[in-house]
Formats: sequence, C-alpha cells, structure tokens
Amino acid sequence: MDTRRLTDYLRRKMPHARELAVIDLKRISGGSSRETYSFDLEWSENGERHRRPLIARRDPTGGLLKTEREREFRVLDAMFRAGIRVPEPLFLELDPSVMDRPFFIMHRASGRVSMGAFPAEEPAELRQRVAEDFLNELVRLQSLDWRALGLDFLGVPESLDAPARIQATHWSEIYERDRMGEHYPVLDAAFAWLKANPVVCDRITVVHGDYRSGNYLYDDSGIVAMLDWEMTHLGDPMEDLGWASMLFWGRGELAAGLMEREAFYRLYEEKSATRIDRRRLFFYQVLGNAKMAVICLTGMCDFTQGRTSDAVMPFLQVLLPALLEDLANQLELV
Amino acid sequence: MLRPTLKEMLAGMQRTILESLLPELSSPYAQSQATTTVAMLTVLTNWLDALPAYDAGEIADLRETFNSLHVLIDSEELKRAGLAETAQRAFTAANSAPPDRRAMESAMGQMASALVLKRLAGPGAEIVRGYMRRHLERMRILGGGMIPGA
Repeated sequence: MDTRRLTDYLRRKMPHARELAVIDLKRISGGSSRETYSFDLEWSENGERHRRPLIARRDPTGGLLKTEREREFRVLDAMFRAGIRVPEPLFLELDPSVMDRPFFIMHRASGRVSMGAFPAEEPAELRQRVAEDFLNELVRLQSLDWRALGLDFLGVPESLDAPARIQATHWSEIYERDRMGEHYPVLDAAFAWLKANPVVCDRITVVHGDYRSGNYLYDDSGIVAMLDWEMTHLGDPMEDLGWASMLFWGRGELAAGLMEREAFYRLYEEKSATRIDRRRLFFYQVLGNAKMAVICLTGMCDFTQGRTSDAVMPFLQVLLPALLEDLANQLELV
Repeated sequence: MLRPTLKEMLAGMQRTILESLLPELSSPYAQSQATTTVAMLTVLTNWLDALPAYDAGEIADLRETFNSLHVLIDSEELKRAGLAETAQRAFTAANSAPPDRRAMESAMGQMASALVLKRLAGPGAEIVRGYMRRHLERMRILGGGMIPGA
C-alpha cells in the first residue's frame, strides 16, 4: 500500500476536502487475517483543518482466515450503528485495481491491547472494569435485533439445532483442506465427537466469532473498542462465551484472562438474566479448541505454500500441543 | 560431523538478521517480522535435536500400540466397535518396512474417535489412552512447553 495511491483514492472519496494528506502510513502487526496499516489523514474543509487517525485493512495474499472484506465491513457498520464499541467504518473498496487487493478504511481507536492474561502490572480495579465491559458488550451484542440491523446476509440458521451442526461441519471441512495430508488423532476424535453431540440453542443471536482477550482495546476507563469482526455470524450465544472462556486464552483460573472462571460465568448470568447451559458451553469450548487448532494448521499451510510470508505463521506450530492437550483432557482421551 | 553444522549456520543467519538487517530497518512492522524470524530460527535449531527423537518415538509407539491392539483383534470389544478391520490394517502398516506412519496415524484417529464416542471400552480403550498420553507428552516436549497467555 503506498501513500500516493491512497491519497488519490481518498481525494476521490472526499471531494469537498482540500489539501488532503496521508501522513505516516505504516504497516502494523496484529489482525493476522488481513494486512493492517495505520496512518493519519489531514484535510481542510470549510476553512478548518482536520486530522483523523485511521486504519486500512487490506486483503492478504494468504493468511489465517478466508473471509470476505465486504462481510466484515457491513458487520462493523451494523455494530457501529447499534452502539457497540467498535471503530467507525468509513470506506469499503472492492475494486482490486485501486490498491492491488480489496480493502477498507476505519477509524483508529486508541488504547492498549491485552494478549492472554490481563497484564499483571495494571490495577486490579481496572481488570475488574474491563471484565465487566467485556461481558456487558457481549450481552449487548447477543441482544441485538439482527434482522432490524440487516444482518440476515450473514446466513440465518434454519433451526435451533443448526448452529452447532454448521460450525462443526465448517471447521471440520477446513481441517480436511489444510491438514496437508497429516492426521492429528486428537482432532479426528474431536470432530467425530462434535458431529455426534450437537447441541440445540435457545435463540439465534449475533456471534462475534473471535470474542477474546487480544481482540479489544482498553484504556483507564475500560474497553474502548472490540476488534476483528471477520468471523462474525448468526448462531448460538454460547459460542462466544465458550470461545472467550477457553483455557487457551489465559492459563490458570482466569476466564478470558480477566476473572476467576466461575465468577465470570456468574457475572454473565447476572448481566444476561439467563442461566448458562453448561452442556452447550462445553460443546463450544471443545469446538473452540478444535477451531483454534485448525486456524493454526491453515496459517502453517498458507505459510509453507507461499500464500503468506508473515513470520508469525510458523510459530502457530508451537501452539498446537497446548490446544490438543486441552481437547484430549476435555474429551477424556487421556 | 561436517563443519559448519546446520546449527552453526542457523546461528549465523540469526546474527545476520540481528546485526546487519535489523539496524537498517525503519519500519516497526519489518523490525517485528525480523525479530520473529530470529525467534523461529531458535525454535528450528532446537527441533534439529528434538525432531528425530520425536519422530522415532512416534513411529515406535504407534507400532507397539497396534501390535498390542492386534492381540485383541478377535475380541468382541473391537468387533462391536467396528474397529477389527482398522486394527488389522494398522497392524500391517506397523509391520511393513518401513512402517507406514500416516496409515497408523489415520487408524489411531479412528480409534480415538471410537473412544470419545464411547464405542471402544475395556483393555483396547486403555491401550489407546496410553498412546494418547505418551503422544501428547512427546508433543509437549517438542513444543518446549510453550503456552500462550502464561
């Protein structure tokens, strides 16, 4: 992505802007499923000078996930309209001739990222505040009227027993595609179990699909923005809760790296005014571990076959043992 | 041993990245890619020692496991689970020269699936569980016990 082409593009998108300038365009780490660039945009309008921090997300040549940028942009737009804490989406460009591959531009939220367990050096009160925000946003997401927001395009499951089946089949198919001829007995067993033990949800909600530590920005006031909406779909609300509370994201007792596990569940029940169906939660924690293991396989497959050159990808191999071990323990394989 | 060894060459490549390439990079993203590559080269260096032992351990263990399961080939337990044929195929794969690792791993996937679906019980189940424990332990050692978020 280069400054001149981006400036020309933004001039066309903002015809009233004068003296428009793209400043400090640089690629940044994170969001491995897309190339992510940070820059500031300056322009004059109605006699005033403006400056805005922005992010451009461009389709990769390969990467962790095969998702559509239009889908992510439309989801982000719906979330922004619904008042969920997300960066404001601004422009979507599907024409690959503009910048080699499709991309979109959104506001750049400022804040810190917590990978894995919440940083020990942060005050305990802030961790509590972030945990509350994390569950507040999840409950708000799950209470959205997705039809009114026009999110039917995500694919409406035809029945309450469909979401579990759809997800198990989807990730099993990707496993078959990206395992590079290798067999992982634990994953073979996990997908056999998931297909034989589908759960039935009580309602269909928006599912973020990657709701976890590492995918939000926070500052001293709490969570500023939830990020990475490329796996969003309609499904079982237990899916995000199961994914967020997987052991993998924060070893030890802290669910989502934020709060003692049972306290986390109790707080969710309190905020959502529902009881957690432990069988469904367990199903989605098993699915979550299997899905994460498959995402690792996809990353390694794309790296070794030249579809991505991101140096992080080969590291995914190192993450597999922990995921397979969690799965084996969950399914009493050991 | 031929000098320089692969490990010495990899260490040299790490120094090239750190001492020649990295100081010339102005982009934080490129710097991060360079340091990640150096870290991955460290993992690969360790695997040079550990991988042959891991592979040999896997093949030997799969072979031993399927030889043990073969003793149960006529048992009701394997027949009821629909695994007698799988066990026979895996036994053949285990005792071919060289052993067919992929065929054994594929059969182990079917065994493990039958176990979690509660179709396999009794001594056969314990043999499969024993392999799984050792298999995961070998993977853990190979991965260096790296756990995210720890």
